[in-house]
Amino acid sequence: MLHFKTKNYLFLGFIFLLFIFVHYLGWLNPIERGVFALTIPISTKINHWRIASQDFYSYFSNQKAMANDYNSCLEKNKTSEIGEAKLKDLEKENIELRKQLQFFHRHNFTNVTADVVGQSADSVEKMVIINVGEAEGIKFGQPVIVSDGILIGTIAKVEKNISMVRLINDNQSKVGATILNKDGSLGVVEGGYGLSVRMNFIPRNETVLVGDQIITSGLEENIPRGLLIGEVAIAENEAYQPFQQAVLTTATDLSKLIIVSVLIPS
Amino acid sequence: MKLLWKTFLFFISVLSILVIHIFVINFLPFPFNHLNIAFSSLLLFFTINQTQKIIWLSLAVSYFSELFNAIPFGINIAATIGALLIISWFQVNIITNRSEYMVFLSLALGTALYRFLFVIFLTVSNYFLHHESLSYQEIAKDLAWEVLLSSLVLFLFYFIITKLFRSLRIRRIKTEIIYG
Repeated sequence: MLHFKTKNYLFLGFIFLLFIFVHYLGWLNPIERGVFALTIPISTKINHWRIASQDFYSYFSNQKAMANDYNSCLEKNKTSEIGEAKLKDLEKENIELRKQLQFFHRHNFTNVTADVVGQSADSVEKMVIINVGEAEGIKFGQPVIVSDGILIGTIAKVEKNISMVRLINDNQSKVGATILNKDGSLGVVEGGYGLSVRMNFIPRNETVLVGDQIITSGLEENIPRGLLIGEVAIAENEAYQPFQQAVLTTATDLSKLIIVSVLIPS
Repeated sequence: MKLLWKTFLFFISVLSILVIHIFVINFLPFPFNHLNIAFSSLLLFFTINQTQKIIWLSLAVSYFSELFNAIPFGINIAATIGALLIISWFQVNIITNRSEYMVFLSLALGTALYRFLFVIFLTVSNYFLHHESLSYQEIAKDLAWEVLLSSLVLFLFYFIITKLFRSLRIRRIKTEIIYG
């Protein structure tokens, strides 16, 4: 049984306050960096396993597709080399990087490319950890993209060598957006609806159709116009609501992020 | 030498809990990634053996897990320690039965309490820092999964382990104090 006296509670409270104080002063930085150095490689490995295993789960969710894929896999195996898997992985990375590079050429942005090394330790947040930080010029609020300019989130926390990206499906994420329809409807894309993302505050008199693409509006300080967010999956225009809403399908699978780029205003 | 060995064991325990927690969050698919291994395992250790050592262990584990999320520093530590101390009071004064089911109840109650304190602290912090308000509906769903899975998995783990190692069972109180 725990025998806690008043002095123990006071001591615990003192230690807690001391922790907060020395953390913000940066005196614990060497220990924190040591913990990151120990855990980030493990987290990176686990993240890669997760992405591979997600393919594995979806592989078994459809028996017919599984049988087809299995047969084609057997065919492929006859001619494939041992290093094919590694080559494919590199090829995928190369395509991804080329797409991102083309985007930067067109839009005159400076960028920092990063690997996704893990996810937030708390299930309340939908965040990913990337392996670039203050040292590379990353700052709070900068947009993070994949592929040919697809917005996945914004920087929520920056450490010296790592940063945390708040994904657009996080419950505290809000991004100004516009729909590519004839009215150019403006609204706010918000997360926090389970697996889906919604666009709110769309004027009721404007026409929103399923399949309309949604891009960033450029009305926020750090986020440029034209980053693709997704497309309209369901449009909800209720008579008793002041605004209409749209449920979005994100342009990329937010659970399978490997390489991302942070956009830095030039 | 003994102190050095104890310190080493302490850091190994902290690191192991942290790595298992990161593994579960990163690797398992929804809803199993809602298993809160860090807090639930600390709560289980605390239920089996209510000593101050577990409080210090939880302080270290929650401090290091704070580094892997973007919430204001201190919220996770305060919620963890607060929930453990409150559950300790509950176990002494309310859930006095020392059966296996008490372990399950303690785990469920403790995890819910932890998340409740966490959300309260986060709401207060968001209010003062002028951050976006939380989506409570979404948090309620996450909480339900977390409480259900964490308490169930840790209870099953405890149940199996105690069948194998009898010494880990919670000891019944052998002395009685008669008042009046």
